[in-house]
Amino acid sequence: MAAYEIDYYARPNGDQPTVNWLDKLDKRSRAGIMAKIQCLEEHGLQLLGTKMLKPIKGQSNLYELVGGLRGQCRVIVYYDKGDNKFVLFNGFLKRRRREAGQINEARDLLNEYCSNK
Amino acid sequence: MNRTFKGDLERELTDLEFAQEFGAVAAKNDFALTLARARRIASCTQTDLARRLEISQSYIAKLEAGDANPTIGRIGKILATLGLRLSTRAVSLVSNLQANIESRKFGEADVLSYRWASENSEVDVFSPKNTVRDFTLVKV
Repeated sequence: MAAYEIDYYARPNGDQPTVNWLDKLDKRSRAGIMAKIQCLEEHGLQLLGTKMLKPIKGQSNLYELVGGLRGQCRVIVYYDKGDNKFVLFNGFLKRRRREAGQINEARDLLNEYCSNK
Repeated sequence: MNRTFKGDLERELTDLEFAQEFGAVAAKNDFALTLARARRIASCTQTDLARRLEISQSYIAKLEAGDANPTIGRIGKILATLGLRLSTRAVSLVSNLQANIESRKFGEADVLSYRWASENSEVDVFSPKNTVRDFTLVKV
């Protein structure tokens, strides 16, 4: 049995940003990042000992999962300690200029998630 | 209705091309974790290990990120440097199932035997060799 639960975050309007992003990826990249998500499901925060999971500065329990397209695919995940699950907020291809915007978007989604819990 | 990761993954894994790529990445991820743990237990830095192997530290970092594609021989060499050797087992692509696969005789037929163990049940599955996708359930 998987050690952790994995959830795609669903906004109040039903939109699932990570699902929308995964659907736009080519099959190979999608397989790569989904294998990383499954690894997170099995090993959780142990991935911090590798380069596969990186904490996001200034925001506790928010992480960047790295994989696919030679590490260009990123998924922002939140570890919900109370429910022992990872919530996938959004995904993006790493580009220096866009990264901060994507992380800010994930922070907004995290606020939305916490206020609707 | 909201989609789930589990549901999406099970659907995607029915596509052989997806499953093969997924399996390749999963193998690299598993080795990345194994190496990172083994190195920490041995109190060995990436730089120390790289020096002992006469390879670059950045290659060790790539291995621990699941980004490198080492040969089986190289994996053996890296682990031996840490006083370890490789042990392999095949498990299901889906994480809540475990498959123990062995080749055996079943009546007159040469078959592959699979034992799937999930939370609630154990199932023996037999498949004629070389037709692995055509399963016959023989016991629940």
